[in-house]
Formats: sequence, structure tokens, C-alpha cells
Amino acid sequence: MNYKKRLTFLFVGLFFLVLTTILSYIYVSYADFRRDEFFERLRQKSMTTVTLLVEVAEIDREILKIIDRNTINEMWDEKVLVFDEDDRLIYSSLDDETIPYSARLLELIRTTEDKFYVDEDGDEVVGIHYNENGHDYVVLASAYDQYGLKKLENLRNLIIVSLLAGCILIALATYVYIGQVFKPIDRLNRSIQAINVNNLREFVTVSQNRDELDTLANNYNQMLARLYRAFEMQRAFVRNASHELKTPLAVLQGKLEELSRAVGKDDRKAKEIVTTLIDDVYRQARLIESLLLLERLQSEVPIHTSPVRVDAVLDATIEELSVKYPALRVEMGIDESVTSDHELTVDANPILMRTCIRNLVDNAGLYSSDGQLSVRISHRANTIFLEFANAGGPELPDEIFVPFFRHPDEQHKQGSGLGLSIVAQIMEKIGGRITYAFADGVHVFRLSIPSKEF
Amino acid sequence: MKRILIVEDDSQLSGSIASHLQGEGYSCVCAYDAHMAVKFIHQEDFDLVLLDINLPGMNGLEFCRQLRFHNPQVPVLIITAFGDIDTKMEAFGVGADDYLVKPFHFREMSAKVKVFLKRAEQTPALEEIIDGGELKIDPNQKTVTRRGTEIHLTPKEYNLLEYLFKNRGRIISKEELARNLWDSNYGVTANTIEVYINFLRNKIDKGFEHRYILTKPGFGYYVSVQDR
Repeated sequence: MNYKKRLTFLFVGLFFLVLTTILSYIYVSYADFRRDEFFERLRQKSMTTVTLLVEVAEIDREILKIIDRNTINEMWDEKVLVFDEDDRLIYSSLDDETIPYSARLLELIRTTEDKFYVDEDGDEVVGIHYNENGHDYVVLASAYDQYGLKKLENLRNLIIVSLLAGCILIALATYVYIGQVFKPIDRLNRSIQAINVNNLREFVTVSQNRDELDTLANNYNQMLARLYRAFEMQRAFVRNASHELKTPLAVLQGKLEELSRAVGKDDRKAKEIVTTLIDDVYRQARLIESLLLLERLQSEVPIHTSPVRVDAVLDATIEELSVKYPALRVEMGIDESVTSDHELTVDANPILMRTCIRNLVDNAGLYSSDGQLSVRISHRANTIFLEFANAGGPELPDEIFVPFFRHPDEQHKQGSGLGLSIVAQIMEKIGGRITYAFADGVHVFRLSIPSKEF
Repeated sequence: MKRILIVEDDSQLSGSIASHLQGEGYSCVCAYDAHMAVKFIHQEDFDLVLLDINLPGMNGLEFCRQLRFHNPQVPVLIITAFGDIDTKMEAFGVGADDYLVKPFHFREMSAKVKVFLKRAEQTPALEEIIDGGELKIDPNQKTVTRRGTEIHLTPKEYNLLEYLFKNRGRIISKEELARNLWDSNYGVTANTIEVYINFLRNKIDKGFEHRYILTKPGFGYYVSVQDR
């Protein structure tokens, strides 16, 4: 979940909590107030009835019933019962309806305190003890607070609706507001994303608002500049090292070529020495090149990549090396599993890809016993497989991918022992790998490279 | 006599190169930095430029950019000590035609010089555009279009398509394609040809009503050109 959503949820949660607390408090307070007020009305009603009954001694009970029923403040489902000191019902405002009671309840009211409670029908009941002028009565009065409870229900509905509407509104408002707050961060983020290996020299835009984001953008730009300088230093090192190491070799080689021309054709011995020296100069130069390439691969300096068709690279490499190994016969086969050219496309540096394939073809050129190399290309589960198979010699040990490893029996042959380790490093750079297998006298080097996603 | 400009800061190396090329019958001028080379290219036209990248002051790539602005045609052979990936990409980016990595065999250099001078000399006769109706093949630019939209092909796919169209009207077997499109010591399996034909069909025929590349089972492939 991103920060925007998290913040929105947090705000909505907090708002919901605070609003629920406040509205619940209002609801509970109002409910208490209504109940107290209703009990007070019931109590006064009881007092009026019992006072009339006691003080107007001669009052006819039927008249009292009529008075009770016609009071302007008559409540819904109102009932009044009066009991004498022997718990006998001496007055009931309605003949057919009564309030459930027990002798124990009456006793409790008489001996301890007045009672306020809700009976099984939902009617609120007041029980009071009247003990004046030698009269000892218990009065039970009950009624249903239709208007008060209706108002309470309305209040509850209002609270629920306001709570829901409030939450939705606050969620929308927060989302919009946070969106606004995050806009400059999103802009900065996009700006940073647009910077990759190929445009390290581009900087993120600074809005000149002199706010925290500008500081962040400035710091990022400074970091980028430092990174670029570090990469440039690394590149410059390889460049300068190449120049300083190889120019003298080129001069030496130029002089040797001049010497070779100057030496008479008859002086075979001298000619042979010069040719050997020229070859040595070459070998030295290739070694320097391989070492510098390894250094470059091991550094964190980013490498430019683009979509590369492996079969096209293979074609070009084989054509290039056919001059060097005129006797080598290559057979190339693309498997039926390959159905689209996308399945032969990898995301890699074209020159490194060519180096990889050249090193493997070079290997076969140097070590193949029958002058044959078979290359098979197949595709499975988003991976391209290139298998280079050639006969010759016994099985190779595991150390073949370690720099400078050379087979003890093949020391006399050309090669620096860096070719396969360079292939392994290049594979690592592009997310692929190289494996070696040996069966029936055939060496198989297999490259597995993830195919480019389209 | 062909005039070659050698831009190389090491006087011994440029001396050796010049003496070798003079021996081959070329006339050479040596510049030891890019500023000197800029003066030379403004004074006269050269037939080819041999250019070192690591020069004091302005580097070879920058010089190459200026040279291309001044003369887009002259062949430029880069001499570089760094066979490293970045430099090679950059060299082609500024318009170099080829490169030699130090140290190099002088005969390799001579061969490249010869090829580029010859190429610059003869403007090859323009080959006729192969018109297959909606599909057009331009053998000069090595481009293929269908209904005006360019179709990107690898060199091998292009050669295969061109071969099929140049031999339209007859059935071409897989063996014939393998023999004519791949070197004698570079063989391909029959399945590889099928894969390439499939790629070509996907690129040029897919989504269109008319199919150009058809199969005669058991015999090979043929091109069916649209009726107009």
C-alpha cells in the first residue's frame, strides 16, 4: 500500500474514532436526560393521584379515573395503581390493564427507596412510597414515552447517517488533499525515474520554491554528479590504462613490421624471429584487453543495453572468425521451439554479446579435434539457450571459468585463459549463465539468457 | 595519388604507419593533435582519415564530429587503444566507418584502407527496386516496405527474402537456400530455414490478405506476387 493510501486510511480512521466518541456521548447524554425527565413526570403523576385520593377524602374513585384519563398531560398507555399498607390494591386507573407487580416489589419500595425501572412491555415504571398524615401507600405508575423514544430513535439515525457521510467526505477530501501534497513528490519521482544508464548527465528539475523537496532534488542531483564522476573516473582509468599499455605495443609492433620488411627474404631465421615477436606483441595486447574488459565487467559502471538478436550476432561472429579459422566448420541449428523472432532477442550490450559468442567460437577453433562446431539455439520458458558443442580432449575441470585457468595439456596453444571467465562475467551482467557438460567425448558450453519481454 | 591524413599523437607510431602506407603508394600527412588536423582538413581534401581517439586537447571523437560536419563522405578509420565497449559504440555514434584496435597488423590496416578507398571511389550502380506490389525491396538501402511501412529484418532475413524474390516464379528448396545464403563451411539445419521462413512470414505476411511466401510441400518455397 502506498503512502497516499496509508495516510488516507489513517485520517479516516482517526476521524471515525473522534466523531464516534463525540456523537455517542451526545446520544447517551440525551437518552439519560429523556429517561430522567420521563420518570419525573411519572413521579409527579403518582403524587397527584395519591394526593387527590388522600386529601379529597370523599372523592369518588370513578371520578378520579375520569380525571386521570383526561389530564392534559396524559401519557401513552398510562396506568396508576395505589396500594394501602396491607398491599391491597385500592385504586387502579384502568380496569382491564394493570402493571405487573409482586408483594416483594411493594415491600422493597416501602422499606428502602423509590424504584424506577422498565417492565417487560417496554413501559417505564415508577414506584413511590407515600407516607404522610398517617397514610401509608405505595403507588405504581407506568407509561410508554412514545414521543421521547421516537426522538431518541431519530437522533440515533441522524448520528449514523452523519457518521457515514462524514467518513466518506473526509476520505475524499483527504485523498484529494494528500494528492496535492504529493504532487511535487510524484513529479520528482518521475524525474528521477527518467534518469538511467544512458542519461546520467541529466539532472532532476528543481522548482526554485526553496522548500524541502527542492533540497531533496538538489541533494539527489549532487549525488548523481558524484556518481557520474565516479563512473567517468572508472571509464577514464580503463581508457588511459589501455592507451598507456597498448600504444607502446603498437609502436613496437610497427617497428617490427618495418624490420620484417627490411629483413631480406633469404634470412629465414631473422624473419621467423620477427614473426614470433609480432605474435607475442599481439598476445600481450589481447591479454591487456581481456584484463581491462574483466575490470570493466566487475565494476559497477552501468553498461548500455539494447535489444539484440542472438542469431544475427552468431552469424556475424562466425563470418568474422572464418578468416581466422578457415578449417573450422560450423553447423547452426535453430530448434522448432522457436516460433517468433522475439524468442531470439535478448536485452544486452551488442558488443559484449559478440565478445561472448566470439570467445566460445574461438575456443572451438582452438581446441576442436575434428574441426567441427555445432551451435544449437532453442527457447523455453522465456529463456534462450545457445549450445556450443565440439569434440576434443578429455573432460574439463570445474575451474574453467576461473580467470587464467588453462588446461595443463593445452598450454602450448594460444589463448590467455580469460575467455571463458569473461563469458561467465558477461552472462552474469545480463542475468544469464554459462554451464559446461561433457558426454561421449563432446564438450558442450551452454548459455542460458533470459529473452527480452515484449 | 590518394591522400591520407594520419591523426596520431605518438610520432613514432604515426611515422611507422606513414612509412608503411607510403610503401603501398599513398601520400600521407601526419597531424599530432586534433587542432592541427582541423587546420589540415580546412586546407585540403583527403581521401581517407586514420584517427586516434586519445589525443591531447580535443579528443578524436570530437574531431570526428567536426570532420563529419565539414565532410560527410570521407572514410574515417578510428585507431583506438581501447577495445572497450563504450568507446566502440561512441566511435560509430560520431560517424566513424570502422576501427582498428592497437596494436594492429599493418596488412590488416592496408586491407581496410584499400576497401574504404575503393568504396568511396566507385559509386556502385544502383540496383533496381524489387517491386512485389504492396511489398517493395530496395537492394541499395537493404530496406523492405509493405504498404509504405518499413519492416525491420536482420541481414540473414533480408538476404533470404531478397533471394526468394529474385528467384520468383520457381520453387526453391531448403538445400538451395542453405547452399546460397550460408558459407560453405557454415551449415544450417533444414529446421533453421523453416524457422527463418516463419519469421519472415510473421514480419511481412501476418495481418495481410495476400500471402507472399508460400510452401509447396515436399519441394520448397515460392513467392506469389500480387496480381495488379
